[in-house]
Amino acid sequence: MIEGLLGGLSGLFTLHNMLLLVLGCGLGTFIGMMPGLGPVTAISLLIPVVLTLEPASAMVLLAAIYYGAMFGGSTASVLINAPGESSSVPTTFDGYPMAKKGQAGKALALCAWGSFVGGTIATMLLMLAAPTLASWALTFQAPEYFALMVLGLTAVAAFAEEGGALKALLMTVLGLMIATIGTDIADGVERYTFHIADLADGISFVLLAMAAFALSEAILAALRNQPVSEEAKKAARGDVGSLKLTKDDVREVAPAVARSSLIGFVVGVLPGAGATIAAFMSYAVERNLARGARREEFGKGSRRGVAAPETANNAAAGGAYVPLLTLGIPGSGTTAVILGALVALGVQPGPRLFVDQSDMFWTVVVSMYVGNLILLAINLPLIPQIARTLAIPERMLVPLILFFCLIGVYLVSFNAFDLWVMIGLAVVCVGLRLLDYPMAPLLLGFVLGKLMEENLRRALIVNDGSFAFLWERPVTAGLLAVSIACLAAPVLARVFKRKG
Amino acid sequence: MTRLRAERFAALALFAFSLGYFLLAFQIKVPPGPDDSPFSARSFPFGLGALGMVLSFALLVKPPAGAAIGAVRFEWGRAAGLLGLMAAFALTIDALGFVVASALFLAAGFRILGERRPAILAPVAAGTALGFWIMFELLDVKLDWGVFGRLFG
Repeated sequence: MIEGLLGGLSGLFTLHNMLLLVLGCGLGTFIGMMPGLGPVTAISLLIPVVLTLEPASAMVLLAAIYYGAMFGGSTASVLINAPGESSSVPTTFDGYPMAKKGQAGKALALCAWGSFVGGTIATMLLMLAAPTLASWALTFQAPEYFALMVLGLTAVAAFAEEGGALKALLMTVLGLMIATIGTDIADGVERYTFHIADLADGISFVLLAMAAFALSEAILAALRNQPVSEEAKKAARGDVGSLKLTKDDVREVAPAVARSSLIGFVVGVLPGAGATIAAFMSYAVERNLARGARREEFGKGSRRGVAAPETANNAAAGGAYVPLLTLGIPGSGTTAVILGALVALGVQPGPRLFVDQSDMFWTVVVSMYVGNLILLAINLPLIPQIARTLAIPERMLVPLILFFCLIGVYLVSFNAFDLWVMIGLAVVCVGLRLLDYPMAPLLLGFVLGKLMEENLRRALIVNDGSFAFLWERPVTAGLLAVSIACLAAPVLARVFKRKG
Repeated sequence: MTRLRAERFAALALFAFSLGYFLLAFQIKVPPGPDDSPFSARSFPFGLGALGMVLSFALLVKPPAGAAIGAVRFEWGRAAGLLGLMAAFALTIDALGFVVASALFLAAGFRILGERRPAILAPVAAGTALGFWIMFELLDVKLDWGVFGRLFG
């Protein structure tokens, strides 16, 4: 491990990688802070840039944007009661009341320190857990990989919002369907291309990610037409109050931060769960643990209520890297986008990554430590200045996002056909998003589609066409049993709710 | 359109899509080989099409309850305008070239969303397009000037 860390240090400390790290932290913070734009949008928008980099540098940049956006998401939650992404929603419960009491600076400082501690603890746990899990996963063969992907895809149903499990599953299937467009690698035959040469290589991942997240998000913003709020204008004046934390503040939040780091990491590791569930769960835990007057403070400006979800969502971002790097299974929309970008760069995350490209893993781990420090060092003193960007009106921001999407896709292929496909997909995605169809499962299905088919094909060929491998191999059977439990969970939850 | 009707319409559209996907799987040419091959290029699409039909049918029969769509007032005209603008960008980027198509796209986009001041609209649009062109030149990515490149180049 020490050897790996030293290798990671030498991999990271080049001028190029350090600049990318600072750039990723800054851009992530900026985009994550914009109401409605979360890490997945931030990463989607920057994929075209990422694809021009070396794989290790690309991973450093992607990771920095990810936790930078998690970090930035808190600013809009506290200052204008408009979370940048869903995992920052619980931060509004107490962050905004603190801001209304004139303690916005303190709330933001709590978020910053909580994010820093959560991110750092999660990186430590990632460093310990990932190699162990990867060495175990090295024994996996096609049936286990197939089962693992089934688990990754079905887990999204278990964690979907109430009534949303069916929609999440359908979106997963839709993603898998889109992944089949193009030339089938094994048989060399075209599928669903309608003899259009531009479709022979399939739908580009960049295109789908842009359409599902950034582009549809911008069109939805134009549809809703929300003017810049008074809170945003006030925040833009940079008047956030003192950013200093007292000893009493630290004593109050320290246990909550420790607990939330662990909760965040564990939930982040689970496929399908992610930062949002981690943030809500840690908030609920802290509220339930609080007694007397402390409990009364929740919802009215509790310091624990601010620190806990922010710590947990950043820890979850670190945790999400465990299944991504060790098994090649993304647990969330954001990690699905990261996986897609890595595959496009020729890197296949999974247990072999630790054998063939361990230096890359350690470079990313070290970059996470340093990146969390950079976020704290740069962003904390600059919070008043960063807050000014909250007043950028949508009439300027939305066309710029659309423009980034268009040139992002165009510059990958220099083919206007891709723009047409993206616009068409964005229209469909906007319609589906208005009806609460989740986009993350669509991308998960798309990213895992080809691998899933390939592993199923191999497993069936090795087993002479028999599906017996599904129940005869213990790990495969175990993973599929968990998948079935995931599918049954929403149904059972509804039954118990009705009875209770 | 009420929420329930919109949900049913979406489920029906997804069912039709899945059905079409399933039926089109028959048209996938399977290369000659042993007839009892356990897996072909058609196998996965058949399974996915069937699964898609089952799930969308379930949503069609029992759509989940949700907030009424009409509860939020949407500016459909703005969204349609932006979509039309993106289509225009896709149509003109090869002919007009990157800089001119981008500047026009941005200026029109700002205008559609309510920016009326030419003093802001024009410089931001032209500056952004030119700024990106310069950045890509520095990265050695050559962007076409379209008809203007041929006229003045």
